[in-house]
Amino acid sequence: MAQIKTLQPSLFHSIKTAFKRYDFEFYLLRRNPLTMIGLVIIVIVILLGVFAPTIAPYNPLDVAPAVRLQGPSTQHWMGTDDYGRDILSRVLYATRVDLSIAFSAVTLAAVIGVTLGAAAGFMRGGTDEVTMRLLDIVQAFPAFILAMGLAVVLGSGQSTIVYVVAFIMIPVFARLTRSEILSARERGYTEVARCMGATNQEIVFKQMLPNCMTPILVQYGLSMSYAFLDAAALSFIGLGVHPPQAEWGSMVNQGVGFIASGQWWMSFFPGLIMAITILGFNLIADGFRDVFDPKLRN
Amino acid sequence: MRLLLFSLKRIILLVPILLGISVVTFTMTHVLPGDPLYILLSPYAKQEDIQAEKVRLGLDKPLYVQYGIYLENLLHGDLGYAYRTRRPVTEDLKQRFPATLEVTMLALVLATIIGIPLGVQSAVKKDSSSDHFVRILSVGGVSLPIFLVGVILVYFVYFKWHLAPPPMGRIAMNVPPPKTITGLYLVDSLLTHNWTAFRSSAWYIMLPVFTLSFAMLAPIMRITRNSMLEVMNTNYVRTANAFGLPRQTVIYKDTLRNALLPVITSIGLILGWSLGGEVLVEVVFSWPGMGNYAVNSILNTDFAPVQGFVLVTATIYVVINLVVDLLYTAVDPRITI
Repeated sequence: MAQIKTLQPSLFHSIKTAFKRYDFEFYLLRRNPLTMIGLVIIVIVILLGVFAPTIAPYNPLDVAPAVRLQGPSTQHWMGTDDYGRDILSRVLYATRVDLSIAFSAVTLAAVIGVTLGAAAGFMRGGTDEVTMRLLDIVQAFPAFILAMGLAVVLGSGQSTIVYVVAFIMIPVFARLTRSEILSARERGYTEVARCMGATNQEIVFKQMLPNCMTPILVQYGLSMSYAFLDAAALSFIGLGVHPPQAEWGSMVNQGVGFIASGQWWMSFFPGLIMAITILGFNLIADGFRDVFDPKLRN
Repeated sequence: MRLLLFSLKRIILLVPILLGISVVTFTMTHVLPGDPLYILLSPYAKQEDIQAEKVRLGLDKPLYVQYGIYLENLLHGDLGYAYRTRRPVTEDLKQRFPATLEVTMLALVLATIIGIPLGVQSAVKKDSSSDHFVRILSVGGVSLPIFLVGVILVYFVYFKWHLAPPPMGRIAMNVPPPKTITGLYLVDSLLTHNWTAFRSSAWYIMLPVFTLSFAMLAPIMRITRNSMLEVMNTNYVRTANAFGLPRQTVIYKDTLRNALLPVITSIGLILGWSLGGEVLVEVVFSWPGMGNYAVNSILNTDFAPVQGFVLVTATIYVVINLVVDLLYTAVDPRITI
């Protein structure tokens, strides 16, 4: 085992060399203005979410019947809703909620999906067959509709959305990891590690997975925008966070009834922030895909 | 003949997938929390009453027996009973299916008609301003939540410009719907030469179709563009160009025909994905389709219709993908069976 240890560089060093290997790719990313715009958007949105309590001018739950349904003004930049609550404050707090939902859902899906995919790809045989057939069944459903059905059973709420959105995203991560692991099996370094007497665990966690990380990270970014869309859509149809709490999808839904009479700001602003956030993640994921998929690079 | 045999094999392979789907929907209703008994009975029900109700619903039997009963009911087209509408779920869904089909199909046709030429143009004139326009449109299409697009359209087209009817249903209140033949208002009114109904339903379906097709447009454009770019780099296209064939011939005859194959495959996926988007469109426009029905049932804590809806859409999705697969085999000359 000692020999293997000497082959293993320190964690810091291996991260540094992993990045070094992609120097050219990062150079391409930096050169792409759209990717940089995406990055700026995401950083701003995250800051808005994190500092929502400090920035928000009003309490997002404070009902003020005297100022209900007012359009954007200097007092209320984004207007007020039908209870007189300040929409800007609610949008800021909603950003917090939606960011945490999307991050938790995608992280959960990635952890479970990568584990399943790695197990299936490494062990092959029966484990592989069973896992793949189960994933086939999950993917036989249109994703959002399956999420809807599951959310109904689990009962509406923030944690339900996280679980359900994570569930429908597991197959993508599992399939991706499986195919990466399958090709990693054939690589020289796996052979070498095995000859050096590394255990299966060491081969999977220390050799194969670190080498499969790039496509998984790209998928992570892509999945973020879907997570926002699905979470907001579930809230929109009434399966999301419970009413007084602010969330993008449910805020848009709250305003839908007022659109036909011209009170556009209730739906528009939460929808706008949501669209901008998703755009940011899409731009970054697009940039990454263009750079790391050599077929598209030119 | 061989194509027929191949199709038959594919259809048989469908059975385990459909069984899997039924297991999932069965699990949703019977195994996970949210016991139907608590919805049916009052919280103060006596132990005997609970037991009696359990026996009546067959919930005292082992799970596999319950699954057998569930499957048998499914094969008889029985999806349970909707307490909200006091009708069998199958009847309700059957009645609402045409409304959903009408919007989805029109949106798909519209998105394809617009999306493929735009994708081709953007690939042919790569990095031109029209290419940038298409790319921005396709990133925007994926980023804008479908319900927000609907809301914006309602605000401008209906409220500001008065170019569309209010987002309420399939046909104007004062126009009697056409005689039911297919259930698709546009088709039925054409068949019965009912021009008032045709005009009114075309008027009402306009915005829902625009909303849904905007969301479908982005993936169609993007896949067409990428696929065109890939084919344009192949040797045979370069050869065709080198032989001095007219540019239009090379683009439409040599490149597009080969580039369309991945587009066809993706249309199955896009349709399946749009079944989810259709739910949201139906909510925004109070469209009396299956999705709106499911959402209203959710709001009234009536769950059998929701599970029925999930099962039916999953089945439709699986069948669409099968059809697309078969179509692909028929179209692609490289695939010999």
